[in-house]
Amino acid sequence: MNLSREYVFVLWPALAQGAGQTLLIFLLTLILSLPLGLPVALGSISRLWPPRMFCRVYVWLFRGTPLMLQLFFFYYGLGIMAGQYDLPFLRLDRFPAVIVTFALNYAAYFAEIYRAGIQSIDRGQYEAAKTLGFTRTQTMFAIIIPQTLRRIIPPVCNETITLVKDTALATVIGVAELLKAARDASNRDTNTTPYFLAAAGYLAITFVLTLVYQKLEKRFGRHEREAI
Amino acid sequence: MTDHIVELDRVCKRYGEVEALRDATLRVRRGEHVAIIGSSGSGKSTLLRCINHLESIDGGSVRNNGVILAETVGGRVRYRREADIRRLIMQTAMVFQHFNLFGHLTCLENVTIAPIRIKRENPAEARDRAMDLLRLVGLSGKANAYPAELSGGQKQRVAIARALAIRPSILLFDEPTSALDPEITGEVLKVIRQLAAQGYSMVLVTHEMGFAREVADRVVFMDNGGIVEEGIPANIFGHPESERLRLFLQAVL
Ligand SMILES: Nc1ncnc2c1ncn2[C@@H]1O[C@H](COP(=O)(O)OP(=O)(O)OP(=O)(O)O)[C@@H](O)[C@H]1O
Ligand SMILES: [Mg+2]
Repeated sequence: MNLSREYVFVLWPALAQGAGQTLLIFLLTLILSLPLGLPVALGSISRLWPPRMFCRVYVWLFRGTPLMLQLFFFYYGLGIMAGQYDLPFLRLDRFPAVIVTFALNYAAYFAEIYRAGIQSIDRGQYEAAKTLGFTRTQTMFAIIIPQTLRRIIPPVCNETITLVKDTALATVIGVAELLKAARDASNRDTNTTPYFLAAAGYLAITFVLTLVYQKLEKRFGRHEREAI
Repeated sequence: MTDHIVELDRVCKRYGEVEALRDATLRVRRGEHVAIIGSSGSGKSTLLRCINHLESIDGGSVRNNGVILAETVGGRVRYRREADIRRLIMQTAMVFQHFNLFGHLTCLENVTIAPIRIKRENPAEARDRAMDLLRLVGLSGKANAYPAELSGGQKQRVAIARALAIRPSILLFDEPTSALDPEITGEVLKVIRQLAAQGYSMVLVTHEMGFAREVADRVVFMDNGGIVEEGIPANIFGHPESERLRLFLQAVL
């Protein structure tokens, strides 16, 4: 290992750029998958079987297969299909392939968390809303979902911590995120320092996230210290 | 036009093998206070919940202010359209055994949410009226507290204010004090007594025989899914006719 100022200075641009890509994958995935999980969750508890079936199969596929396999499918697999069936729009670049895969994959996980949250709300809440004249949709959005927030924050937070580390998988299809930057530098210089610096980068991100979550939990913890 | 607010006619309700209601008939006139008593599992809650469609019936008919909510035609139960049902059941308001306050809303918001979001009342006026209602139940000081910060008796009083906020023509109480510690049932009973004195129509399922006797114009005794005996409190409690009511009163008094 070599932590001399000169060497870190040499490594810095590539690693910083990699960390930027890592953060970008992380943020884009969250921005897309956090909202996408909601319709999937609502679909999977729908009283109509077509959306229920579709959403449950979707969740099963994305949670039941390796994320790396999904990544290969959306990058290489679709690329091959694009050529075979002459459907060029199926061919995704590396980065979009990562975002699409991660967003779909994480939406499945978030959907399950949302669904469990919604189903943990007492039936009495639906009944009270019904007697006050709420439709089912109004009940869901005004009464049920707001009360799931406090319950879903911890599992959602856990999932996002996992996402930070999963971003490193993007390296397998050649996206220049933090781990790839570190590995390239390490191979070039036959030196372990880049790995240590990359580890420090991941730790810094997860540390900041932990702080954010503590804030969130405090903010949403107020009303429901006990079951209603 | 009828002066019955609620009419259940020969209502049947099954849960699988269990016959929760067998041909139960109940009519409530405007301004009347009806208490429903009976042992556990006799169908009291089920009867009450058929009035506002929290349970759907398997036979008979339900009317609300003379309007048919559900009726049986040729052996099949037909319910009105969902939007109509929603409008009809808003004329009845329910107070639950376990309060069912909305935990993410303050007391004031619990009371205003239906008037503002469902009835589209002016928010400022709705809040003024909600404060009046909270004052009525003695909780204007808790307007900005969350349900989790209240005692059981306070929660139930907020739930009563919330029920009143939709201007119902009748109040349905399902054992409003059964989840409370004995020493705080009094504060809730006091509010109900007050509403009765103000002339609100109500149906009250209760295990508090003393209270039933005091506020009810009519007491209905249920057993095994049916209405076995009904009458003025003095007769029901003083001169029970059926053997089953006699046994029940012996057990609870
Ligand atoms: N959701 C349900 N599923 C199955 N059976 C039910 C359901 N609700 C009620 N029952 C049954 O229907 C019958 C009547 O129940 P109900 O709750 O109306 O009684 P109750 O008189 O209100 O009793 P309690 O005094 O204990 O509240 C009981 O045998 C009960 O087990
Ligand atoms: Mg009951």
